[in-house]
Amino acid sequence: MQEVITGKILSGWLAPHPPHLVYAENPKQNAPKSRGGWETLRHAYQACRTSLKQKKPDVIIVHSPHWQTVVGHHVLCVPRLKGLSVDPIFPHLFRYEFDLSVDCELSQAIYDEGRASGLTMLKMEKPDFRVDYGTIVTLHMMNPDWDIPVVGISANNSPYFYDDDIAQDQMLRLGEATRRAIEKTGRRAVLAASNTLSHLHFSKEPNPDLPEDMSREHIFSQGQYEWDMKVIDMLREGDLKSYFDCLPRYMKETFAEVKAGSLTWMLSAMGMPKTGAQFHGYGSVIGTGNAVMEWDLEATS
Amino acid sequence: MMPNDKIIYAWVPGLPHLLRPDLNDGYRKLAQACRDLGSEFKRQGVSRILFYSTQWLSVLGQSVQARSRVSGLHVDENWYDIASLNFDFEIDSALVENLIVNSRQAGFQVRTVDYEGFPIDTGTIVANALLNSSGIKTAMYSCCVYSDYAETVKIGELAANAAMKLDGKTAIVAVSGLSGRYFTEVIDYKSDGIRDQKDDQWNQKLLASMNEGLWQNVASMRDDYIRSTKADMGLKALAFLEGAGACRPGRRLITKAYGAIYGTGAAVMVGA
Repeated sequence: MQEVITGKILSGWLAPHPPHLVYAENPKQNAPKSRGGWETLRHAYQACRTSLKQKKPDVIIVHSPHWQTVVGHHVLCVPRLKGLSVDPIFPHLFRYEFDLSVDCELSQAIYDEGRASGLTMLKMEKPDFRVDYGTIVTLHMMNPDWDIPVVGISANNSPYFYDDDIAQDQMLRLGEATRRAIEKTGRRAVLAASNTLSHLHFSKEPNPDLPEDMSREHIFSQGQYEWDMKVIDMLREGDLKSYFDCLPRYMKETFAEVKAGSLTWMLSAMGMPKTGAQFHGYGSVIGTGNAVMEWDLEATS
Repeated sequence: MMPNDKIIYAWVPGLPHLLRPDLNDGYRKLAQACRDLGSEFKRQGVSRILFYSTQWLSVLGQSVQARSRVSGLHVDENWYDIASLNFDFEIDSALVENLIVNSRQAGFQVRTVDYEGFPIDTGTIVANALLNSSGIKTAMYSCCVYSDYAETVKIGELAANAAMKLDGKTAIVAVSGLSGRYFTEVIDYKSDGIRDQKDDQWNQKLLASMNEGLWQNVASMRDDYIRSTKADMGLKALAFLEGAGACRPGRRLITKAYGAIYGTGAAVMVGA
């Protein structure tokens, strides 16, 4: 008897995670307070928040480069994770009380499908686990109400040890496994690739006394900016062939964080959509290039 | 006074496998060597331990832990199935102050870290658990990703000078691995070993030169070693110890134990 497939991916978001965005917003969960800043990116995320309220997905699945794992791909698999996440790099900006519900049935399905694809998969089942700031920032910026269950997936760090192709190949398979898991569990899912684009950044704080000093914020270099614009154009036009063709060079020349595989995972899960992404905004954070972009698969279908 | 009258140098691994000696005899040997080193600290009346762990990363300048007491439970993001790590550090405020002053005088941007819930890195927690059973005060200096070898040497130097200004002995401990090539599949811990035979040969060569105090040899092979073995954080641990004075003529770093942790190279070394 043929398996009934009911689940689907509603949309996918390129959803970068600089903790500065949460800091600038001053939510009650975050201890440090600011005078604002990085509004272009924060306003771009507003489109995501509105979309999620309309679509009412069952789950948000986020792939985070800041949960970096050496052995395989890990999924959060604890029903509720709660605690204080202090960013080890920016503790003065991000000390966030998180409380999230994990869709463990879907986590298990992603784990199973990944293993069936020949990937090394592990389930993180420790209730005291401190969720990484990449996962939390992306999820907060998408859905500050935290009223949608989530699944967190780690970024296997093979690209930093081996070569770009090995890991991107794994991310393609992980994306397909994620899609099958969504379909088999009947979930209406939204995906989040928690990736910055170009990732060369300042090596000192421009203004340590006022991190949100926007007079000191700018892209790291003109070359980096031009690369980001080229890549954004390809994604807007749905020209994924050109994007993947230039990806190794882009990663090499701008240290692009897409190297961690989140965007590749998401594009693969979405079946490499031919239609272009909707661009909501671009901005730099300590010199890195960040874009908020949306693939609305429901609108496309 | 020569620095070694007041400073003891050490280099230890910082992966949580060492807290599970039941998993592999090599882990047990490395852990025991750390404990023996801790006993030596106690015997010599060490007043404080300064940790430089290549797992505490900073990217915008340097960071110094400044909270007077840091305690909690840490679950490692990779090795959560092996160990949940309880920690409790008392910080030596005088050394912290000196580290900050010296760093700023040397022109480094340095941030003090004084936050509840700050995630102390796995390396520092593991090293402290094995070396410091008697609750010796500690200090922690971050490993800045963008400080190159030469800059890290300067940081080691200012750290040693910060310790020298204080009464009593300071143990300067670099927490880091050697060759950095992990197994990327799930392995049976009993079968752990250096992932690549060439890595093992490189590690042995480096250790032999350090054991003999042949610092010119070490300097000559350093870049090749880093490139060939994907050395942990580009051997910043060595740079830090070099700056702190551990690699001066006549001094040596003696290997007390050497082994593998999930394919990577690991050694317990003490200055002599």
